Amino acid sequence: MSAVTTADPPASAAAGARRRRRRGRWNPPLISGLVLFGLIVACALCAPLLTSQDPIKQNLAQAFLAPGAPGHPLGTDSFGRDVLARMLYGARTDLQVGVLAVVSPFLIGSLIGLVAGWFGGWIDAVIGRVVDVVIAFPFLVLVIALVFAIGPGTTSIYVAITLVGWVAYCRIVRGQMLVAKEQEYAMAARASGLPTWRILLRHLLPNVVLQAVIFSMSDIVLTLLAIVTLGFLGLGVPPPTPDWGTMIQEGQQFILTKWYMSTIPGLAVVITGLALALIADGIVERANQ
Amino acid sequence: MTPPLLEVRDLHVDIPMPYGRLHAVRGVSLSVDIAESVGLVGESGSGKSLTLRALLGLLPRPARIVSGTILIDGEDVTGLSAKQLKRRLTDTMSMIFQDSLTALNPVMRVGDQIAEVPLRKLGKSRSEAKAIAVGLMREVGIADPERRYQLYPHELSGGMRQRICIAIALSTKPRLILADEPTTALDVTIQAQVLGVLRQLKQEEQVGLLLVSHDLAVVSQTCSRLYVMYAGKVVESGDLVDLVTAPRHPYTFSLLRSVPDPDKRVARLLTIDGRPPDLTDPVTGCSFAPRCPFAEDACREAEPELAPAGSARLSACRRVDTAQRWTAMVEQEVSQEAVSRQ
Amino acid sequence: MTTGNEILSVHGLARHFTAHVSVVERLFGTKPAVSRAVDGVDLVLRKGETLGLVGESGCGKSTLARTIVGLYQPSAGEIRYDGKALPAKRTRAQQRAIQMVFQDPYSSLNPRMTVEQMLSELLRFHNLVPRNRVHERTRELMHLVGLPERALGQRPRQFSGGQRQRVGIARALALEPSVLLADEPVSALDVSVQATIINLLAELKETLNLSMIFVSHNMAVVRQVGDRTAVMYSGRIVETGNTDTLFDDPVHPYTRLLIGSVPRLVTVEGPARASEGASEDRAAVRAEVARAVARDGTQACRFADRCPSVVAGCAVEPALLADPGDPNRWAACVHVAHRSEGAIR
Repeated sequence: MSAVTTADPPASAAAGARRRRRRGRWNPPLISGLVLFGLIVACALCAPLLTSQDPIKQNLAQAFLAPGAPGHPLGTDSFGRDVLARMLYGARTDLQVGVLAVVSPFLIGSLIGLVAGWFGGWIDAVIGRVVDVVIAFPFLVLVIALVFAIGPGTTSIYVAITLVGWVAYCRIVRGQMLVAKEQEYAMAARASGLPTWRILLRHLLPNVVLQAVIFSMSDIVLTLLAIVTLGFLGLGVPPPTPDWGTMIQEGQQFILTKWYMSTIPGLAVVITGLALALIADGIVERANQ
Repeated sequence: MTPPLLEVRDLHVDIPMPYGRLHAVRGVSLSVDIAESVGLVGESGSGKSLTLRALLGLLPRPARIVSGTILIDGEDVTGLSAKQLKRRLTDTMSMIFQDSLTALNPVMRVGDQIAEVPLRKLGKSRSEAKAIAVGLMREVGIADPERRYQLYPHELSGGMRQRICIAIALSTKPRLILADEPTTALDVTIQAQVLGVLRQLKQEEQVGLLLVSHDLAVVSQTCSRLYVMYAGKVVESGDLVDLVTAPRHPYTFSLLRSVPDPDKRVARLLTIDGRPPDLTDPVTGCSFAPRCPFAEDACREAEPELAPAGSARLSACRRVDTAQRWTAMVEQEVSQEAVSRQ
Repeated sequence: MTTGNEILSVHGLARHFTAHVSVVERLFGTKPAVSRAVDGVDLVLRKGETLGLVGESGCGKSTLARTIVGLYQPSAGEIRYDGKALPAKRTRAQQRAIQMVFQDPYSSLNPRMTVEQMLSELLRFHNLVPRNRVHERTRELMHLVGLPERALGQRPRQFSGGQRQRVGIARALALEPSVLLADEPVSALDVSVQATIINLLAELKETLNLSMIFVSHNMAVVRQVGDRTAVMYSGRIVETGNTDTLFDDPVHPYTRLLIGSVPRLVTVEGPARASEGASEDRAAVRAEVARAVARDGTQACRFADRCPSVVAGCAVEPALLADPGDPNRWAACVHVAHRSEGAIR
């Protein structure tokens, strides 16, 4: 084989290219997003270390304290519970619900989208109709029905959000799949005789799932907001468990006089959303490096 | 002696990148005489298309002209105000693109697209403009132009659409047409027809042509003079026949011998190892030296400038005096290899 | 069209595509539009030869290649490999035997896999080498296609177009095929890189004793690589023959048009070649052909509406017939048919 011409040396500007890649892998949005999100998670985990107050204990004598009151840095709510403690312990509830309520729709939706996009034909048609029905079905009616069926609590929130949320992932992955399966690398995998499940999971999934991962970041925030909405209807996280959504809802009654009661948990939701959006940006940049 | 219709001196184009500046065109000078057909040849990334687009102010973002002078009829137009400059350029030149489908407005009848300039800029009446458009369609070889005037771009084949683009380019009565790979997207039989149209225009209409292509054969069909670009610079220029029969730069030389010939099979095509330099980094020495089979140490030290190499010829090779030797060397090598493989 | 040493042959192969029609439209009687991308192709590939397959865009050459590799199921006809007809579901060994090099070096490699991952997956799945020799084999493959060993750890975006195409070739060769189908392997590459890939394929064919079908729209490239050449037009083969004789003396008007249209370096300036103007003179004949088709319900020669030498006999599609003087030369043209009849008499 000595006659074979040697190829051009890879990356004549190798140093420059490597520099660019390194900077793409750990890019500023990704780092800042991860740091910010890490801080929020750390606050939730270390709640008992950061405050000695009990988030549930009521003290009506000390109700409606403004932020900065002695012993209550963020004040107290209408029942006299410490707002800081409720914020910290609320983060535990919300992150848990937010993340868990996104994981199963993500997994189920992506898988169904993968199958629909790959096989097409009647399978795709059937899945498409189911998706249409779910989208057309009012979310809140579904939740109310479920709460009656399962009983109130976080479980029914998970189930309800999963039943509705998978649709978005299914659509995203299916769309990506329609493009990816026509790419020549998918053809090449088929031409080399690999079994279908292997082509789907090993070759196509990693290429189509990126958009779904990015969407899941904003979906976590959307889920938090959905919980707030449910709280309004009394279907959210049952009291007295601390949760940002309930806090926003409670503070909303006093918005004109005690603006900070809704604003502080609202800010927490915004910061969490920002951290997740930064992570999503970072993932995009990393993938496009 | 009349000055050339168009002259470009020392054009530099930069593309700002996230991690540095890509110096895409590094001091290109060229000229086109009245009614002359000139070809600009190079591979992808050589800066040929950017050079062409810079002439009409059509650089894609974020590329920009850093410096350079454009002269029309010997008059420096770079000093004019932006508006005047634009007017002067578009009065003199018009452009044809590679992708005729995206170059045309999809929701406008093709005939109306040709008639637009006569109607709006040349102040013709509607019926006059239509007559001009039909005339132009006939001129670019479209049979039954009255009927095809009414069609939309997607109803026409690729070759027909490119003819429409040529007709639009002609509608401004330009003295020079800039063509950016006008036949690359077309099938070979259609390409032959479109090249025929371009050749005919040159003979009958006295319109100059500056044709950019990666395909030497395509350029040789229509042009009488050639510029060869490599890594953002012109490395060789000269009369077409002269240049392709006796190249004076090893890049031109290798390019000519790496293209298969439809009329003759060779034992083995000559290859150019390596790839063009990354123009985000400064170039030291001759940009072709790393791939050049004839490079010496001196070639890698200083970048050679274009210098006269025969009548009306320029070459940016230090070793241009030994050009005949390269031919002999390579020919011998190839024939030896052919013998050893049999 | 059979000879003893054929490795692959295609008989009456067709591949039609049906446009999607929804259930509702079907209820209202909408018939789905059928495009006959490949419509009755007979082709033979002999052991150790390179067959060039040329044609313009949309003639069905890529569909034909993909059908042969098994990416599409044939609508009709059969593909025989090594004397046996290939079933709809190929065995692993049959799938492995016919491999493909794809056109686009950018989309043909999975962007998320390193070269080593791509190659070792195939080697393991097909049990081509013992597990402990997989890495060694991937290194050999790199050497075979002229890439450095460190390329194994890299992902596609780190390569140039030519290097990617080498990776694509290595992927096909990993399966140790006996037939290599190259679908426009150089059309997306720069001229100077094209030559390296053409040379590489030619060398690999020799050293690995491959038989190759080289699909291209570029006549000059096919002339360089093909031992024999087949010209495809509108889903059919219109002419085949030894490359040199086919190029030097094309008999089918379409082959002549194709070869004549290839731009040559430095030509003496002459009148523009065959353009629409020339074919206008044949309008009367064409109209006659159209009338005959309408009357008798025949399928006309597909090239009749562009053919400069169309005659009334073109109303019936000509079969691919052998040239009596040259057993390698087949053409589907009424003029050629007359020629052979004359010779037989």
